[in-house]
Order: sequence, then C-alpha cells, then structure tokens
Amino acid sequence: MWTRIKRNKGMWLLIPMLLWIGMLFVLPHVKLFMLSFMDRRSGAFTLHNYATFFNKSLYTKVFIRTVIFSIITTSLTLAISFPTAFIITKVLGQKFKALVLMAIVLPYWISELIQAFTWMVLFRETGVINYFLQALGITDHGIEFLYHNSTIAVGLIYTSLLFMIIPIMNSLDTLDDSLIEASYDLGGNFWSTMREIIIPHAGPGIMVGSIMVFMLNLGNYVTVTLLGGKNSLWFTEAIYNQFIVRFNQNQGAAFGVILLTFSVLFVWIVLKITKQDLTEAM
Amino acid sequence: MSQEIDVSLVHVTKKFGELVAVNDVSFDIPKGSFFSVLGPSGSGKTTVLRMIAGFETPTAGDIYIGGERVNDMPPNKRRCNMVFQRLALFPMMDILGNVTFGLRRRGGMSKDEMEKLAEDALARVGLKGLGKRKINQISGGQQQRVALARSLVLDPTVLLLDEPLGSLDLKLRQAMKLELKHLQARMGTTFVYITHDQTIALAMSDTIAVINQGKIEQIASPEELYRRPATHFVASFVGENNRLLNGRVTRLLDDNVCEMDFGGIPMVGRAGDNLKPGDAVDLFIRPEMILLRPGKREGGILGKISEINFDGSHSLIKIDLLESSRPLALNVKLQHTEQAPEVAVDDVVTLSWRWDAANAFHPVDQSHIEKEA
Amino acid sequence: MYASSKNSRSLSQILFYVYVILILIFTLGPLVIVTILAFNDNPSASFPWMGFTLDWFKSNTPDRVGLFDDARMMAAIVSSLKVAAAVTIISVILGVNNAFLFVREKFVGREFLYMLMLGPLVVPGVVLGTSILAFSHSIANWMDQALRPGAGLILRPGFWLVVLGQVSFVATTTTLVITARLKRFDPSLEEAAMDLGATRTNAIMHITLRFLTPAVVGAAIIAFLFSFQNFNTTYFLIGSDPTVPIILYSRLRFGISPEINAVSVLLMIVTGALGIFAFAFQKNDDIA
Repeated sequence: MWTRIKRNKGMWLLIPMLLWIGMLFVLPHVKLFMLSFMDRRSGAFTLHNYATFFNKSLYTKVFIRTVIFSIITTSLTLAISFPTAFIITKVLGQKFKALVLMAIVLPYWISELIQAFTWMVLFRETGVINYFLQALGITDHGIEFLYHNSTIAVGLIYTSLLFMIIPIMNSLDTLDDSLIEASYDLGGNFWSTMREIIIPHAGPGIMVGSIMVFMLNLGNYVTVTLLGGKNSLWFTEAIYNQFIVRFNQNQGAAFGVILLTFSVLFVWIVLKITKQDLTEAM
Repeated sequence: MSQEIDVSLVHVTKKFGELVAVNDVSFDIPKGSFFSVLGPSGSGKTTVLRMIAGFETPTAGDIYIGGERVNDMPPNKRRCNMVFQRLALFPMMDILGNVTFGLRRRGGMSKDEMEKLAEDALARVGLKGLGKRKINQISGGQQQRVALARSLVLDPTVLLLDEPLGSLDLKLRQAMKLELKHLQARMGTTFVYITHDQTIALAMSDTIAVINQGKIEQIASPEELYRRPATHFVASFVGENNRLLNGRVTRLLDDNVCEMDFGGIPMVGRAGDNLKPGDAVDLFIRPEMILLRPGKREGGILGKISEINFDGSHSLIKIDLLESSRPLALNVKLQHTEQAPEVAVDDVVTLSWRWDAANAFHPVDQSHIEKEA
Repeated sequence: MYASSKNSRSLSQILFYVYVILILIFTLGPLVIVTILAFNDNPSASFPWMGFTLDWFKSNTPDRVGLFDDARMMAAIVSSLKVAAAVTIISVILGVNNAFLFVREKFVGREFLYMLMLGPLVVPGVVLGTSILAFSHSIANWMDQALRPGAGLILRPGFWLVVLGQVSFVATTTTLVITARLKRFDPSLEEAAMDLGATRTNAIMHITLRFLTPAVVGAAIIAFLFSFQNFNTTYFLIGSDPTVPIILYSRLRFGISPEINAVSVLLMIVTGALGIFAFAFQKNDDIA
C-alpha cells in the first residue's frame, strides 16, 4: 500500500518532463513534419515541397556539398584531435593536462560568433595575416583569404574540435597504461601499439566524437555563412532563407525534415557498418 | 662461479626526483632459477622489476640480461617478458589474439605457425582449445594462465612476474602457486617474481632477495632466510617471530653466540650485527622452535600460560614469563603430535630453545617498518 | 616511456610537446590577437600597433563608440542576461526533476523516454528553431481565436519564446549532468536520515539535494553559457530585443569593427571567470 502511494507520488515528476519534451520537442517536430506536406496557400496535402528539393538541382547540389564537406571536415577534425587527446591523457602530467584542456575549452565557451569573428580578423583582406605578409614583404597587396572553402574548413574544425577531443579523451582515460606497457613488453612498437591496442580501445570515443562533429558541421550556420559569405552554399542557409526571407514555412519545413531524416539515417548506417554500440560509449 | 647468470644488477640506483627508490642494488640470478624479490609496498621491488623489463632506466649502475648490458635497450627489444600485476590482457582481442600478439610483432612466421605455437603455449598452461574465447568470458584463474602463455610463447630468457597472484582468492592462489612452480621447473625458464607475500616467496623460490627502502637486506635460499635472517628487518618481516625488545648483551660466548639479559632473565641466541657486550639488543625467536615442558624444570625459563588458541594441527600458546622484572611474554607454537604435552590456561611451564633458534640484532627505529599481513 | 630508445624517447617527447604547442597556438592564438587588437588605437581593427587605448570599451565620439557607450550592444547584453537567467532557472529545475524521475522511478517506457530526451541535443539547432517557431505560431493563433485576441502574444517571437526554445535543448544537458551525479548517490543515506527521524522531504532537502549541489551548480553554469551563446535556435524566435549573438551576427555580416574585439575580451573575461569558478567548485567537492 505504502509503496503504491510512493510510486504514484513519484509519477508527478513525469508531468514537467512530458510537458517539456512534448511541447518543446515532439509536437513541434510533428508540426514541422505536417507542414512539410502542406500546400503553402491552401494547406492541402502535397508532395510539392519535397519535389522542389529533388527537382531543383541547386538544392540537391547544395545538400550533397554540405554532406561531403561535413564528412571531410569531420575527418580532419579527427586527425587533429586524436593525437591531441592521446597526448593530453597519456603523455602530459596532471597540472599541464588541466591547463591544455582549459585552453581547448575556452574558445568554445566564448561563443561561436566570436570564434568566427577571430578568423575574420585574421583572414580578411586587410586582416592580421595580410598585415604580416605585407610587413615581411611576401606580398605587396592584400589577399582575400575569406570566402574560400579552406577558410570554412578552418572555422568548422576550430568550432568543433572540443567535441571530438573530449569523447576520445574519455575513452583513452579508461585505457590501463599497463596494456600499453604489455604491448611494448611483448615486442610491440609505437605504431603497432597504436593500431592494435590504443585505437581499438578508443573506438567508441572516436565514433561518438565523429558523430557529434558531423552533426554540428551539418547543422552549422554562423561559421559557414560568416567565413564563407556568398560562397558558403550550406544547406542550413536554404532553411533559413525559406523561413526568414521568403516566409515559406512549408518549403522550409520540408528542407528541415530532409536534413533531420538524412542525419539520423546517416548516423544509424555508420553505426551499423562500424558495428559500434553507441550506448556503450555514452 | 660455474653457474650461468641470466640477469645481473650491478650497483643499480634509481631516483625519482629526490626520492631514492632503489639504492645501490646488486644481485645475480642464475639461469633457470626461480628468484623472488620480497619486500613491503614502497620498498622499491616494483621499480627493480620495471628496470629489468625496461620501463625505467637506472639512474646509476648497470643491468645485464644474458650477459648483455641492456640499460639503453627498449622493452620491446629485451628478451624478457612480464606478467603484469593486473595482467594487462588486451580486451580488444580474443585469447589467441593475445597469445599471438608478441609473435606477430616479431614476424617472419606464417599465421598457421603462430597459431600452432600459441595453441601449444595454451595447452602448456591448461587452456587447450579456448583460443577463441573473449578475455572477459573466462575466470580470474584462466586469465592468469593466458597472461603466462602470452609471455611464455615468446620463449623469453627471463620471465618477470609482478605479483600476479595477488588478486586471486586464497584457494586459487594456493593452486596457482604450485602450478607456477611446476611450470617453471618444467620449462627451465628463469622466473623473477615480485611479491610482498612471504608465504608465496618462501614456497616457490630457489632464491629470495629481501628488499627494504630500496636496499637489499639479504639474498638467500628460503630456508636460510627463515632460519638465519641477516638483519633485524628480515627477522621481523619473514615468518612469524616472537620479538623481545630492548635487552642488553651481557657477554659473547662465541663469535656468533651471545648471552643477553631481558628483564633479569638470561637468554642465548645468535649474535647478528657485530653485537658487543653492553649493547642494547632485540631478540627474535620462532614460536615453533621453543620447547615447552609442563611444570617447573631445570635449565629453562619459567612461565604461566595466559591464553591457548587452538588451530587444528597446532595450538598457539601465549605464555607470560614469571621471573622477569618487566612484563614479557612469548608465543609458542605447539604441534599436536603424540608426544605433545597437555596444557591448560594458568599452567606453569618451562621454556627453552637452542641458541641458533634465536636471532639477536641491534634495535632499529621501528617507526617506518610495518609488517604486512 | 612509449618510445624506443633513450635518444628517440627524448625526440618523441619533443614532438609531443611541439604538437601540443601547435594546438595551443591554434586554439588560443586567435583569441590572443583579438585581445591585443581590443586595446590597439587603430580603427581598422588590425595591425599595425598604433598605441594603447581603451576607446573600444569606453568612448562616445562621432567616429568612435565604445562598447559601454553603445546603447544597442548594452541592451543586447541585458536581454541576453535576462534570457540566460530564465533559461538557467527553468532548465536546472527541470534537470533535477528529470534526474529523480530517471534514477528513482521505474515505469513503462522509461528507456524510450530517456532516448527521446537526448533528441534536442542531437537535432540541428536550425531544425529545432524552425519547428518550435512553427508550432508556437499555430498555438498562438489558436489562443487568439479561442481565448481573446492577443492572448497568444506570449508565444509570438520575443523573450518568452526565446526562453522556451533554449530550454528545449538546455534542459537535456542539465538533466544529463544532474542524473550522472544522482546515480552515484547511495539511497541508504536518505533511509538513514529517515531512520534518525527526518521526514522524507527533510531527508531529500538536507541529504540528497545537498549531495547534488555541485552538479546543480555545474549544470547552471553550463546552462547559462549555452543560453548566452546560442544563435541557431534563437535566431528564429527572437522578437525586437536581440541577444548578443544575434546583434554580433547582424553586424559581422557587414564587416568588422574594433568594438567587437572589446566585446570578445569582455566575453572571455566573463566565461573565463565562470569556468574557473566551476573548476574550483568541482575541485572542492572532491573532498566532500
């Protein structure tokens, strides 16, 4: 009897939870889903909004570009982050470790806008890098470094570095150092130990980091538009434009649903292929 | 010396900053022997092992393996392998993957050959046919065996064992202890075993080096160590001992036999540490070496039984000495043989021992020495 | 320890440190330069160095307006602070609520609800923002019709819609942080308190919530920073009072001004201080 009352009491906790997740997550997405199948004027069911995506080659091109670009930047971020995470967890002493970690966390917390701004300060035609290039006599006129793909890539790597480093660090932290020593003891060298012991152990962390970074890149707007300008051609821009510039909620909703469906499917397929269990790593 | 030496440490010192972990340690390990390094935690024994394995470099002195100086040789090039304290089996591989790991690093062998060797090694440790199991699917005892097989398959000159039995429960530990000794005898590989557990060291070793605070206290066979401890530390660390503290040497009967006075009672024992008449002295006597006779007899020390703890094959009897000027007590281990006297609490008994059953040393500062269970 | 010989050991150590230094230059370099430029008396927001000035923080002349004299920027800071405060309070309360729900209660669909709860963190901010905008729009329309005209105003783009939109994903983070700590709590402590005469409410107040304090503070700091720097979701829901990221974005689209260097320095100081506070707080907790 008492446990029954107690249990019922506990169930009051469900109300705020359901209000939050229902009103601010589930129902809005249901609404978005419904909107994407509605005609802008009449509100009748239509596939027109999706047809626009597949028929207008510009949108599909932008979408494919966004996906491929995100995959490339995610790989680059991984390539930079893995050694960093390894050095932080396995080479540096405690004090230094905290310091380096702070240095990596700080730019993230100062906001993505400021991050993009700092790269603009460095890269623009009258920017800091150009100043030093000219001061050193390497060039006699300002070069526009902004609005290139590589600038966008630098910005994306910078803003998502942390999300790759932290999960890999977490997985490397649980790697017993004696496993590394055992590998050396049995004749292993740096590379074979890396390949056979360290990377397999860090697998789940690499997976979590890559998924997070990929999703962040895919959904990025600020860094891409500020550093890429008109050349950014990012799919999120299309969504913003439909909602904010053209006031075409239905078209925007369809784009949103496409982005969401794709990213969920993509992550699911990657997890299947690599046989990783995400719950293990979370 | 006729024996071939496998491992040799010559005046090896290791400092970590200010801390001297290993202080001028030298010893030779003969080929094919079971050599233990015994010491309390923090004594530097693990550092000794890690220097032999190559994970630490000596600050001073030289290490030789198979006659070759290996100070600058990295661990992956040394012909010695280690069984780690927490085993360090690779969870990302199956058992076979673990055992073939070293062979794969060495190369020059087909996959089949490697697996054949690995299967042989597994069979030798009693794990025939379990190669496809995952590390977390086997018991603690089996994991020990995999760790052994993983090192033995490489046919090392020396096998280093960092207290790998420590994590097992008592029964399994006893079983593995015997198995390890048999395995060593069969293979003829030199084993270097690091432990703080003197029962393991005494039972398995040909030779034991007792180390304390980075220094070697004594290197001897288990029996020698037990019967004739060379230092105060060894006497108190190895085996059970009665400890009578702060007596005084009255005279030397011989170069190594002295007579002492503890609370007005004269006692004899082997004189260690160059004891001289008038020196303060601590005396160690093994409980099982004390002869106990009921009643008041000639030629012994009179005492009264205050406590009897029955323990199956023997009883541990606590006896308060009757004629001393300060409270002194001795424990006697009485074997339950047919000749054993029947005693009860409050009985008066007479105690005696042969002079070489007791060992006398200068008292030392006890504060930093703690005997581990 | 992981390299092959004495010489190459020191070599690989050197390589490791060189790498770390390169990473630090990459992460901190831009911030250092921006900080220097914030005090550079050069209106182009670049080098060369033309002398030290505080103009970009405090000045009010026709061609120079410092951050603290820029009414629109100051208004944005105030509105960001207001939003962040509201988001923090709501999200932390939700976080504690959800932590108790997931750790203490067993109910059908618990696992599913937990997975669902992670959703707002995974869904791109653009999608989250647009869907909340669309949904709130239709609810507001309904309220206008069903209740009275203007009743739906609260759900039109503006302060409360921004707060709700940010809570949607910030609450996931607070829930995760607080749940992680509550999981480590030994419920027998609560039982012991009740055994010693505390009521259930008392026990939760004095024992459990006190145990949760570090996580609650940590979650609050994270919530605050998440809210303060959010752009993607906020952009759709904002009314006539832009927050700092929104105003920065609209200005950066048209170019760079030295004042933004000053804004960056201000944000660095504030977030740095918050970070150090959080770090110190967590450290103290290790003793408890």
